[in-house]
Amino acid sequence: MTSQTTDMPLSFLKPPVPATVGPDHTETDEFLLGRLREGDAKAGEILVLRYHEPLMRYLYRVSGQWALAEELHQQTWLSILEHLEKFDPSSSSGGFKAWLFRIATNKANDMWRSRSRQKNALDGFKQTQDDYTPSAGSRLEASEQECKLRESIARLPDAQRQVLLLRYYSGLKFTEIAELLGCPLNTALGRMHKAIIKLKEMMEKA
Amino acid sequence: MSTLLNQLQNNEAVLLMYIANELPPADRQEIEHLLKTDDQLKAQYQTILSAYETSERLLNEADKTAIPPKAFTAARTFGDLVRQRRTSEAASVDEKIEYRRRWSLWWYPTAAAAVLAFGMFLWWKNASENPNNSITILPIWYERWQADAEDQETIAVFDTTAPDTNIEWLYEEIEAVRYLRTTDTFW
Repeated sequence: MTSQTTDMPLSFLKPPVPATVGPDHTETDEFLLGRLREGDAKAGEILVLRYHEPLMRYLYRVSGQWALAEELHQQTWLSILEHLEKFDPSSSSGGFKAWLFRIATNKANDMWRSRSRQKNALDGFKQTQDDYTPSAGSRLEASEQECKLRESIARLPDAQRQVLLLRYYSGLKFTEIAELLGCPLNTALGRMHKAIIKLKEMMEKA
Repeated sequence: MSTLLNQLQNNEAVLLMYIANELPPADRQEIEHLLKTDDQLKAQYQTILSAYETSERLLNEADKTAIPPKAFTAARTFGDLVRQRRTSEAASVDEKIEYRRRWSLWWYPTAAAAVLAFGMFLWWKNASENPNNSITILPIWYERWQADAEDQETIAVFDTTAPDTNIEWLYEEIEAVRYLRTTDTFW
């Protein structure tokens, strides 16, 4: 083990993005949340802008469609607004970002559950394939590689997909992801390991 | 060995935490030392690192072609929602204040009317039960006043020079008062 062990070659494995990164660099999430509690709409807008891209991309990868991702995004922020008083930054690690992604994950899970009930006649694999079949318009826009990746991600088991996407898009630590998903750290790491190995295999085959 | 390394169950977990830079410095040093000496661990590390790199590259490339909808619209929608909620909450508070104000406006006259009605009811009840004596509703006051009246009568005519006479006279007076009390003419 030489230079590879000492260098950190992967950008998405670097320490989590600080909470202050976003359209307004000067104010922390907790400060903005406090203002939002007092009814400051502008603070809410800054928070939405700050997390829009990672959250939308995460929801898109989870749901497979921008329309669904937008719907989940709206539901997530609506839920944030409804439960503002319940959030306690000191009680959970990861702060507001972890809370935001937890709510988004729960919303996505709720969507999957309701879809499963609707399509319980189909087996899981076919259902996943159907859900991820891109529309004609998006098929033209998206690259072949992107479609392959989307299908490969869709084939991953839910639990593995969640850990992989949470790590990549939220930048949360594994300990925070484990807490967010309510599972032991070893379980989260095991899922991540399986997810990246499977994804690599599937993409190489494709 | 630190506690975190002890908690991790297998090499994959340890190596993932190492790659993610989430191990304490002492643990990192230990892993780096092991990677230099243990070829099997080193091979495992290379596999995981390669999978990581591939995942990152794929997601990065895919994100370049998948463009999310405008953030501004989402932010504006959320801001409008907050404003809407604030307005409706303010309206709800105003409604409550107005309700309380209206209620307090009627409270005092209503309470006064109720007390008055209750008093009139008591008077009516007493009058219907005792048509000839409307004062029996206050028996204690009446008796006390009566006793005072008797004392005043007695003291006024008491003669200290002839006590026996006075006593006899006093008995007569008391009897007279008792008689008068039974007849209603006393009042």
